[in-house]
Amino acid sequence: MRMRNERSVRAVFGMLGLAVLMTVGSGTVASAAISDCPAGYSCLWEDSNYKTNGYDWDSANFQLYHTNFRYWDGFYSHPHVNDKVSSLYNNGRVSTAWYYVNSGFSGSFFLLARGSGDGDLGNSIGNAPGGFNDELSSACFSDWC
Amino acid sequence: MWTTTLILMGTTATGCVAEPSITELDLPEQNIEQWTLPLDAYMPPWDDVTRSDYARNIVMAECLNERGYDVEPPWRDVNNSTRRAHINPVGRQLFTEELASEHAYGRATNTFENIEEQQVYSEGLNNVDDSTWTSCVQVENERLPLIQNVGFEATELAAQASSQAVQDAAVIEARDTWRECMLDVGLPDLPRTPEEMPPASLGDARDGAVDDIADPREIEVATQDFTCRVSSGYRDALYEVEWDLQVDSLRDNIVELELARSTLESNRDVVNEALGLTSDEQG
Repeated sequence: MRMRNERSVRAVFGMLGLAVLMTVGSGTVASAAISDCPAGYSCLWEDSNYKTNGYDWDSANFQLYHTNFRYWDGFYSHPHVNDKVSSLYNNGRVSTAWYYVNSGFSGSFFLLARGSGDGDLGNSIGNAPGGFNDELSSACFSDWC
Repeated sequence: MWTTTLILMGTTATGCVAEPSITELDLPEQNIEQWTLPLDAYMPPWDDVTRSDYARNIVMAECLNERGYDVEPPWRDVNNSTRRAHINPVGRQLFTEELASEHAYGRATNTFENIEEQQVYSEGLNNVDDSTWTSCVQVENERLPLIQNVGFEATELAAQASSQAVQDAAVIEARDTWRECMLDVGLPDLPRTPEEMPPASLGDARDGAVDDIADPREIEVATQDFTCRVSSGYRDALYEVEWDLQVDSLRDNIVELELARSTLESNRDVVNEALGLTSDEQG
């Protein structure tokens, strides 16, 4: 499925070479949320069931790594994913992704194998352990942590 | 350094799944430099994860080749760890005097020589059509039967211990001393706790692409931060409290944890067999 009425914003943060893709759409399309997570990315949603405010396309996505989810705040009005991630998916093609509660890949953490996600971080069911709902602040694919 | 031994009891069997017989459990030797903790043995080691990914990538490439895609994952030396110096054996970020003085809050030097090739390879796989990818995932699961989500219990318990440790009275007292010690460094937004370092005024001090290059100001702050964590007693207090909390968790959940460790070992055997490794060649 592909979004309609979408605009994609690719922001390169300073000298990092850190590619962050945010997609913002009108919400006219409903679909299985995981399929909206681009290949090669890990996608983060503020709510459970791979949605943000009811929209499955409204995720914050990263490749390689993202050192501080607060960066998404300020650059965009939505979503404010820092300490608000409630569901996530690793649609990377080659690596496990590691998710940390503090910026800079520090603090408590868990991992997701490629091709797996968790629709509700608020429980221990699924592919992520419990205790991480609304806690995440950075993430990376293995070799980029 | 010291080693504690827990004496536990009980031998049980449930259905066809034999639970471990545990008569004695040796905790790892304490190592604050590596922030070694009791539950580490029950979490997937970083090297296992990267080896597993590599094995999966090889199997996936074989499947894609069979379907007409000419792909080959970049070579990885599975006999030697590619874990960077700032990451401990289970993926926990370290903050040591050496790291602070060389990389401040950034990442240590990359040791995976084919990391750039890996990224190019990964991006190339994004062009594989969805149906082919999905079918190859199924093939991969058949050829490399790994049990997923192993180590959840320890990960969850470790996170609980970590969040509880920073609320311990001794840690809070040392935290306040740390903050007084850090006033000299002149940060306008000095955080309340070391866990929130570095602050926004340092910019993205944890940035960097493949290798971080810290500037002198970042190194100045990071080295002072490390010195204050030590002199205030924060570092020792946090480690001891977190250690003790994990010992309690280990004691209370030993049966489930040992089952998980057994599964971790089974997965390791599957991966090693796929990679042609013997038990002596696991890096």
